[in-house]
Amino acid sequence: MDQLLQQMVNGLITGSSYALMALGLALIYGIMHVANFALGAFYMLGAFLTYYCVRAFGGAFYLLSLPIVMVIVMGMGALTEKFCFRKVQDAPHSTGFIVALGIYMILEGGSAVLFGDEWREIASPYNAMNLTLGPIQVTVQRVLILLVCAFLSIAVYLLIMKSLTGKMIRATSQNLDAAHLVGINVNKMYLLTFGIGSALAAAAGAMIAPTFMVAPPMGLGPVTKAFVVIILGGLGSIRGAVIGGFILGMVETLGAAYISSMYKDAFAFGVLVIVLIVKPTGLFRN
Amino acid sequence: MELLKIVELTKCFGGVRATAQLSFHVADQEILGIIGPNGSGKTTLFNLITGIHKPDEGLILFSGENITGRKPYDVAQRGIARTFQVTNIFSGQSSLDNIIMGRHCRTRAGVWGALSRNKRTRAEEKENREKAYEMLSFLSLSDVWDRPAELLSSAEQRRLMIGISLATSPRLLLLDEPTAGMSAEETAMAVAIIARIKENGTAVLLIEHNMKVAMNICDRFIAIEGGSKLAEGSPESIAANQRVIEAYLGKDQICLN
Amino acid sequence: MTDKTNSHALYLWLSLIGLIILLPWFLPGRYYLFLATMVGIYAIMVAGLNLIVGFTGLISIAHGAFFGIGAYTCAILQVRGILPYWPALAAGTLFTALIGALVGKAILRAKGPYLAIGTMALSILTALVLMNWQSLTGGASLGGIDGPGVLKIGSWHIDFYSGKTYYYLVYLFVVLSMTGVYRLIHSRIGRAFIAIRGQEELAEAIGVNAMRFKILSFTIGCLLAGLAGGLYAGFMGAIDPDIASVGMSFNLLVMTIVGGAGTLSGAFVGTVLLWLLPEALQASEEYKPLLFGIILLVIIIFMPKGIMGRVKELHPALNKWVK
Repeated sequence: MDQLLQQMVNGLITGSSYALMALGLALIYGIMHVANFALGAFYMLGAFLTYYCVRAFGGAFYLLSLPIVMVIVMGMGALTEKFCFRKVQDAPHSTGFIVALGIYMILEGGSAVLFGDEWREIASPYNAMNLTLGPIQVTVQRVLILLVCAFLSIAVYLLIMKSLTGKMIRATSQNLDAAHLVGINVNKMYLLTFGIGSALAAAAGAMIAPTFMVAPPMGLGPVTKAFVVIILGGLGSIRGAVIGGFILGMVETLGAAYISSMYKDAFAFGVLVIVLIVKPTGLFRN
Repeated sequence: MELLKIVELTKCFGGVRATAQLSFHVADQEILGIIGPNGSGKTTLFNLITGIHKPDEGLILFSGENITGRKPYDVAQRGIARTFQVTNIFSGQSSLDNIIMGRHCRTRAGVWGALSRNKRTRAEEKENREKAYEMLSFLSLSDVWDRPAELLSSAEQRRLMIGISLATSPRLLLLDEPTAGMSAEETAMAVAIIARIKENGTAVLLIEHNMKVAMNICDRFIAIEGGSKLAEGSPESIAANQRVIEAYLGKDQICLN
Repeated sequence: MTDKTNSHALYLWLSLIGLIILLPWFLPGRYYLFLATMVGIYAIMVAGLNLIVGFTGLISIAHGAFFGIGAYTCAILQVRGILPYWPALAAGTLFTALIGALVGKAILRAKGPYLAIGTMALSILTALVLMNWQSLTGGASLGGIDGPGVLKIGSWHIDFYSGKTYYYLVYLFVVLSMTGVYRLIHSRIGRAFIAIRGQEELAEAIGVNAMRFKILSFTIGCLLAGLAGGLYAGFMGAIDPDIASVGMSFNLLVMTIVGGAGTLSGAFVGTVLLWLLPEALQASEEYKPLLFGIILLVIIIFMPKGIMGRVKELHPALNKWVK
């Protein structure tokens, strides 16, 4: 029973990072109907930028680097929207996906060239600190993951649902022409949404990286899993993304613990393939 | 001889009843007109017949066979073709290739035929081109046989759309507002074509808003409102039917010519 | 797109074949022969992907996985002594086609981004299995693939260990594949593919069973990928699970799109370009993903129909010459 509880906590923690990334994807899909695969690269860049911050300023700087990293990647995401995605917004949806793929390849390839492709560790001090809560053992880092991801998810959720900006973003997602008509600066909404989505991916990367390792291809698996989440939860659905992220985290962790840890990654993808076979339009509609 | 028989057809979308216990039939080689106000379920009816939607209740019988809920390609293969309210043609292809495309379900060349280009395949391709040229001439589109379909005029495109569906050699053709957006001259051309379609042995189910056209060309009518049948009968009886007039035409009577 | 014998295109094709036959005698070294042979192998599978993506309009990021399946099937059959090379090649090709048909039947009801991510997931799963099922696949590497070896017909010896001979073998298959795909495209089947790509609803309305043709297109594409895989295995002598990776699928997609999805010549042009460009720029292996990404982005934004697509747009007269 203790084992189960431990694994469930682990699953929740992993799930929170999936939820965050899926949230970013859902936001972007909702507003521009583009499956932005490039978020996988931003996840990786979030981790890399954090790595270099910690190397330059020391482990204690780790948490402080998070907002900096997020802002930088937010800017990058907005740039990709303005110079790449906006140019193809009238093309068929598949074109947007290919653009995202191109950006992903450039960022991953560029990182390999610039940073080298060895796997590195981020020396976050929180990784070494342990907490024992009853029968559950967990590093502070992992607690931070949960806290930060949950915090950001809720913050963004509130932003989207309650704030004026959020309402404008939703309006643009739902009806572009109407949004223009009521005077919403649609281009600004695009920039903002892409920026936020990218920043969220970077945050997920920055938080997870110390528990794992950092290298240019690290974003491929997570972004594909995040896609699994939003396909299961409904492509543009914010709620579906967050809930689905946690569920996937649980399923994956429990599966790895009780069925096979070698094929851990296979769970997410296996679930996806099964769902697509049975219900090709995803589990929910937005 | 009842070519198409619709029995108690019912379809709801969410809470909205698009089709309600609709029953009627189309006889061999007749032109049956469907009239009704906007949103009365006419195009939904076409979508139900051709298999795009499955009805909640009811039967669709074609030549005695139950085709209810069969997939669109199956319905087309059995001999029911349709046009669309919004012009639907194969862009990027010439008019000729568009028509040839329509012959797909009446030809048989498969992968082996494609790879080997055997005698049968080559004969089939030759026949495709010949029949397509004939069809274009039937539609007065011979001049534009090699023009990309998206560059045709609006009326030409609508005639092409009819041609594509005719190329499937249907026994029943569903025409959804074929003269929409046409000038008087273009309309006359379309009417002549529809008349000849009937002469050539194909029955037609026609949705038409232009009452002059409809009255002229249809053998019989059904009038629909809110998904149910309001009236059925000859052009004269429909024109005189009080309920039809109120629902659709306003309080004045229609002129028959 | 139905024409009878297109004499212009035929002349061009025959000249190209002539060029291919003469090329090895003009190449300055073994490395270039190696490169040319790889281009041929890749061209076969890019032609297959072009059929799926360009002509039928389906996004597949699983093509590399099928390449891997073809390579591993052929290799395992030969390495284990179950079959000599030629039947192993045939078996690998057909087996990959079979898997393609099954996968297609399962997953092709999904569309757009669903299909793309679904095929990506399958790709990752395949690479995972190839790496981890060590007893079957040898794990990180599978070596000892003899390939076609030396073929003895009567008193004639064909030595496939020779670079030149293997080059001709590969290009024989390239010519056969391209001719096959060409004929397919210009046939009732090809018309059905194109109809589905552009207007699926209309295609169904005229009697085209869209699902069946999507599966057919996917299967044929996978068959070509399997063929390329078997040829690759025989050529390299050793293979590893990387060849089935998502990265490979990305690269193949780039070659397809850059050359021109939907044009047969595009498959060849894209493959040649994306093999020669890194060479011309003297870019080492590590620069390739960056380079490919840049090219893909530039092309998809400014020339979405690819190089050959744009060429045909600008000079419609060229349609007679080039398919």
